[in-house]
Amino acid sequence: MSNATKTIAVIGTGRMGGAIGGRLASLGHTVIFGSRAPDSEETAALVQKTGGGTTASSPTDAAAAADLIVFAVPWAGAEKAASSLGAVDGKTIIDVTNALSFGSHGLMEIATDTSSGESIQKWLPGSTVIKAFNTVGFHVIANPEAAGGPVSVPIVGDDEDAKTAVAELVQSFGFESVDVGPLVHARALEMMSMIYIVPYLQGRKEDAFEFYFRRGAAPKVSAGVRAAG
Amino acid sequence: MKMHLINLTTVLTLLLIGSANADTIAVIGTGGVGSALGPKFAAAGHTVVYGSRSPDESEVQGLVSLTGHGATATTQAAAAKNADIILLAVPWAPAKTIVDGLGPLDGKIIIDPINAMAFGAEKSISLAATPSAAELIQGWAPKAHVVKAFNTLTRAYMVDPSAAGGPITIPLAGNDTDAKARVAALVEAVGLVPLDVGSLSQARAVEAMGQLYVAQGYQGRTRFEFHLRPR
Repeated sequence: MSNATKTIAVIGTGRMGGAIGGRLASLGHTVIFGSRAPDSEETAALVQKTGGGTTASSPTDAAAAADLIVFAVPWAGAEKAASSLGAVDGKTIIDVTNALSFGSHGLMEIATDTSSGESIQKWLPGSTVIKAFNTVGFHVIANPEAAGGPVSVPIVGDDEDAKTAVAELVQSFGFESVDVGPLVHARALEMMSMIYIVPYLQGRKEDAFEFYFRRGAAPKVSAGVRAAG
Repeated sequence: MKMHLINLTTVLTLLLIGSANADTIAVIGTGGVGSALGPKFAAAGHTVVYGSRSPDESEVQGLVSLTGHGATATTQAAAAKNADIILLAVPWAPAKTIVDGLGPLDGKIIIDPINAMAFGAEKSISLAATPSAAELIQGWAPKAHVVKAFNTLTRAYMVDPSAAGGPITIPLAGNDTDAKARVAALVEAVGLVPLDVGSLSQARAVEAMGQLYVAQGYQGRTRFEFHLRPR
């Protein structure tokens, strides 16, 4: 059940990790931030702001104590952060990252041939990586109601039980979860995050949007989908 | 009186859209997407010319009569020659051969609704065009204005968007602002909601959306329609 509280390690204390940690703590979960600098002033401030018995420790200690790990570090530091987690065999890792780099003209560029989701799975083969929250901004995670309507969080992964557990967590945040397939589809989700982020980078707030995957009656005719390609 | 031959709907449509906005649109391909959008474009007051390998075939002629509003069918090259806008509603595999056969495309708008996908083992689907079909098409026709559109929804909702139970967004990617605005107007005329998601380099994201969309039904998960809701 989604209302069973867990001990959750949030690796990364940036805006994304902070927003997710805050929501988790307010839902009654025990949050441990995993940080390279757990004793820094910034981390202490985040711990205090998050409240609810939240603590901070090294990534290894945070991961060791956790039922579930949220991986929220920039792509540039992702491999190093993954290797700092220690033994994570059998644990579920929620990957919220995007393997993107900043390009010219306020655009993002894809920074890997696969995806960050698949890369993390390769670096930590004993874990179960589920990708979620990568197509929604930290400001929306912090306050889904401000989005002015339903927001979908697409989820990919290769383990159905882990995906179901993450879907329940997503729903407990106030989002609609949508299973969009295997972990290899992380590539598609990370590409989609590009068009989500760019209006903010280019200062075109009027073009900013939220992804909503509206589920409804299947159409009677579906041949047109394949006819184009 | 000749006026009596023009029905009231046509008059109203022409008044609403204004004749200055009437385009000649070549619909290349008479399959699912072409046969869905051609009639909608014609009903919106545009001149539709289907480009087909076999324009005299009874199925194509049936589509021409269904479309009405003065639509015709001819060869692909002849259709493209007189068009302002080309809807490239063809499968990915022969797309390059078809584009190469269309003749000069300088200054024309090419709408690319193609999902270039490879179907693998265990029902896997991957993107088959790198970096994207739209960018490759732009490379084949460097002076045309390629706009990615109409690749992230099912045919039934192109025909009848009102059956979808809510708005469907058509993300548009392209490098030419005017071309994108004209395609956005076509999207609206069909009853769908355009959203400019940036330059043609962003087409890869739109094609990724198409991949997820197609995979959802193909791999047996709950289907959905995309609504990219403005904030």
